[in-house]
Amino acid sequence: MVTASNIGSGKKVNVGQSFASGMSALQTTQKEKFVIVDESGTKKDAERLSLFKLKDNDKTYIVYTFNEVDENDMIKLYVAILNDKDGVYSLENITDSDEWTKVKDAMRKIAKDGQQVLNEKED
Amino acid sequence: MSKKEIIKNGENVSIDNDNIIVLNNVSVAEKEEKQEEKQEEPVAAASEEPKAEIASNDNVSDPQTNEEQQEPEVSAELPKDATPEPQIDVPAIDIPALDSTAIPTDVNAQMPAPSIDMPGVTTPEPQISNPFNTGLDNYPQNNFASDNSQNNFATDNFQNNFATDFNIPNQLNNNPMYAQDNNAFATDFSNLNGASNIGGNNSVFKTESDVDKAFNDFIKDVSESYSERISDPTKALVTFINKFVKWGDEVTKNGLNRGLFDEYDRLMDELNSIKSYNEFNTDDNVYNENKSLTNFGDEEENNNYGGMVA
Repeated sequence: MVTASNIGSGKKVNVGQSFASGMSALQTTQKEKFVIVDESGTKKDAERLSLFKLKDNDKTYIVYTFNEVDENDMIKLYVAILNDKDGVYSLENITDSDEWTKVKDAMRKIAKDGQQVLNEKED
Repeated sequence: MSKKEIIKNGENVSIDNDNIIVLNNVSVAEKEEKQEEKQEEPVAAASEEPKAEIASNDNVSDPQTNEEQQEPEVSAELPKDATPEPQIDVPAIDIPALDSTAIPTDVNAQMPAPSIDMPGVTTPEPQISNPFNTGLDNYPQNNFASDNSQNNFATDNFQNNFATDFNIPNQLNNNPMYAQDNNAFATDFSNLNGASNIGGNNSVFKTESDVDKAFNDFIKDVSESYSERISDPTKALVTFINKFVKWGDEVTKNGLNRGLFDEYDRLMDELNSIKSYNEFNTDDNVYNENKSLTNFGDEEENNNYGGMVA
């Protein structure tokens, strides 16, 4: 269970299906399910697409989705900082624009590597 | 060891020269079970009665299954028409019968559209189509997002797949006004086209004629722009080429003479006037700028609430 200020905390991005599959390809447990609980106690099931850490700031980021797909077949992803305090995970919004730029770059690289792994698997 | 094997072994994957580490030894779902175990222990120690409850719940440690078990109970309470939402109690609100004589003329001020689906209340068909035609079909759809579907990730041609969310915000309430007596509204809507109460530039609601007019204006602008920037210059260029070819034929046939020299100067002046126009177009960057309609503008930011720190 992960706590958050509200369901859907984090930066929102819409990505293509292949991008999302690439991101989750590097995870041993693909699309791990977990529950987000907000301040009011509302729970919602979410799927983790990717969990990664940046060496620059030593922060851990989680990319998750509620499997919301828009009319253009794009998946809505949420990206937030994952904090671990005393065994309790919580989500924190990314507020710094430079940090967000780095996170986006990292996501692209992860998706690219993941896609290569997927292509290797297909071969 | 290849990445595939690393992933299979559940180890972390380093990419970008170890600047990015994809974590596989961390699970956000596992801690949930541990947290629930911790919560169950103090309850068990408190009294004997909770032990029995916990013992009966021993097999149910997964909160997801808890919800699944709870869902049938909640859904049974909800009426058939309502969307089952276990976490939200649907309030039972009685809608008073509308008195046609008491309905004010300024509909906007007095009659806000309801925002909750009322269970068990049949929705009357809207008899007034014009201002309350809140379907999104009336709005010219933003077709920019149609290119997003083509922007799939490819290893050979990596493209940035972060796209803006082009969902048109559904500010319009699809629930029709509840009107017991539609005749009461007849006089209000007699002058709908251009009426400022319902339509108008600042109102969310637009009449069909407003939308049509806007669309026609847009098409007119596009066609004028096309004529000005593409078809007219192209025609001018084709005309020039034809003239130049004729001039060339004359030179070939009769050789250069004074008249053909003067005509050459005229043709060059004409060409220069065409070129300057096209260069102007180029400077505008109207067609040369590589604007991808799937470009990644500002993502939505969910910064309404501060991050919660445990």
